[in-house]
Amino acid sequence: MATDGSLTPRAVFGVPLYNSAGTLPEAIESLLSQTEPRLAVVLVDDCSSDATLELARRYAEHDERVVLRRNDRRLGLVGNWRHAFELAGELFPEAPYFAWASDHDVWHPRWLERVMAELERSPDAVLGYALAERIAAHGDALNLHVRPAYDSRGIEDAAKRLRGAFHGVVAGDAVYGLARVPALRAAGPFRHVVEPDRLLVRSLAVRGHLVQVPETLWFRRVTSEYSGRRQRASFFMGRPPLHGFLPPPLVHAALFTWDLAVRGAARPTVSRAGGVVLAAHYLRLGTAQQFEPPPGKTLAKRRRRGRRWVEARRDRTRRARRAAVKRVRRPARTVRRVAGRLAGRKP
Amino acid sequence: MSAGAAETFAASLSRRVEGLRGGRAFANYMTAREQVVAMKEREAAASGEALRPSDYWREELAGFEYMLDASPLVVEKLRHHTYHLTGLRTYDYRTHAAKARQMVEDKLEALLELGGEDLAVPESPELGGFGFEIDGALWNVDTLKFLECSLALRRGGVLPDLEARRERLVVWEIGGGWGGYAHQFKTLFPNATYMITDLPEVLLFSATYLMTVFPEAHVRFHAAGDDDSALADVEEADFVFAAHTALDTTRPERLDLALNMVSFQEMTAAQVRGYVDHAWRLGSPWLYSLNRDRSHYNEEISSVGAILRERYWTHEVPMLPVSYPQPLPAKWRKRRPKPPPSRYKHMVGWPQMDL
Repeated sequence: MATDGSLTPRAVFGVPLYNSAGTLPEAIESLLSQTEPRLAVVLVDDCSSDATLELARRYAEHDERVVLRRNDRRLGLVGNWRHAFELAGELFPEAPYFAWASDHDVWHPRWLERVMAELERSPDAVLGYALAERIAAHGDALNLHVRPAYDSRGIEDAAKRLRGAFHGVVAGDAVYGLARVPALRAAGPFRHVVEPDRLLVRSLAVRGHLVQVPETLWFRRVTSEYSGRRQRASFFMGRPPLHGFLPPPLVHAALFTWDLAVRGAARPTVSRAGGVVLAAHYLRLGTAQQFEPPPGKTLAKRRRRGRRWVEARRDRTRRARRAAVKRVRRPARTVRRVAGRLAGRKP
Repeated sequence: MSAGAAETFAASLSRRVEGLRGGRAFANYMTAREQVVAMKEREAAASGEALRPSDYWREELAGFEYMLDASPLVVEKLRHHTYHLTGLRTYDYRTHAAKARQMVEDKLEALLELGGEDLAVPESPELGGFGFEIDGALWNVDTLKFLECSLALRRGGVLPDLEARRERLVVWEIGGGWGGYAHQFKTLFPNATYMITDLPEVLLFSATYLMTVFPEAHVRFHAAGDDDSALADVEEADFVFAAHTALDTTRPERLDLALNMVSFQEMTAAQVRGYVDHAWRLGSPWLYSLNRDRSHYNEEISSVGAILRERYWTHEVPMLPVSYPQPLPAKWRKRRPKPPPSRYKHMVGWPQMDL
């Protein structure tokens, strides 16, 4: 389906929406302001209870590149992301590129033009994205450290690319990159796990190259810090699955084994035996990352955090001891009181 | 003997003044002056609350009224008189100012390190251009500010977009000051039409300066009451100097960039809103601003940023951790110091949709 007779979309943005009326206009307009006009935007509202749907409808009526759908029931974040991807594939099967877009971040008008140009230049690249600037809720730059651009072109060993994806890529940024649709489909878009973005980006990394444009063309709104509990609550509707409570690297490595070793889904790039090695590699790197502080954390910060933890632990221990003493003393007092009554003494 | 020497001096001065009077710079000044006087005459007819300069600017204008009747010697050193607009004085750039020189050298080095090598345009020595001589070129706080702005435009994705365009660029600077950034931009992008909207008295500086620095340039003046279609073929001009009272008829057919440096913060809220709205209506795909939310002296505006966001989606382009007039802190490369809350921000914006 072409939205314009002359401009068949080359890239489709899938935008999962949920209660984001405050930030939605800037996010959508930043997509519609792209200097590369061959695009379509698929908005999927996950039963928002604020004015999100109404706003989205106005954009769909105003710009024929925008398609709006509303879910019949809440799918949760993971379900809605998957749905956005599937819907984009149904509506625009010819589009070779797909990118998820959030309802609160901001895309520079040149983002698509630059990233797509890089992907067109490199047929082996599966995912392209740009440097990101962190912005506060009100839009001001947070002046945080910007990592140097990561580019895996030239690295032919899948294990090295996987390691690069662990150490050189912020998965939360890269997951909003522009991906080749077949590669994305093969990698399994957004699995029902905790930290699905990490799994997806690393799955893509073993299948091809990740390319980062060395220009700041994406603005990520920072509203809260990472929390596994929050992810479990927002990712899965209702009760989280059992594997949601397991360490993510373990779950991801199991899926890697299933995909690459059992199904052989990345052949011929990765053999089945290679898949076993990569899964083991994933488990090792993921576990190390899970329990080691990220490289940005200084020793002083680690010590401070450690001290706080020890103090909290000590505090908890002190409180527990007091509670235990109370528990022991209470029956003892009762025994003394009863014994006193029996002896005819006043309580 | 002394009377003879005095006569000689008087005669040589007179000769020099007459020489300068017949020179290109003074001729340019006279052309600009004639146009500015005409603009002032038409200003009365077009007066309105939104066109009235802010209190801050009325005081400033009173300080350089003498420029409306400048002698050839004053015009020859025009840049020495732009301190009314910039606050920069030649005295601070004399050879004894080692500390200031160090500051300029450090900042220049930092900006070149950030990728400004090919954007560096030093001060022209014409009309009393001044600054510290570094590697044979003149650098001062203003030229460094302009370099930082060009760099911000590049890092904000504006210059790469402009560079990719094949047609002639049309750029509109709101409040062009003495024409310093116009000089830099036109040097970097010769195939551009640069329009400046300003108070007529200020256009006297920029028009004289730019006509002298670019002697071959095609120049046009635009005053209140001029026809709506006067700027239809604006692309044929190199520079257009438009009075702020002619905003309604300042309507080029196309506009690629609207920019403002350090003057929105000194205007009234109504004026800033009027300019931003005008840029938006002209379809400018980019808006660039280097301003604080409000100048300390100006009580007639509360937040420049908030007004920009009424029409444009703006975002800040992080540059050096200090505002342009301040020195860099020591070891700034090792640490990224937190910028103060009230500071100059490089903002790049693209237009909001009209739903």
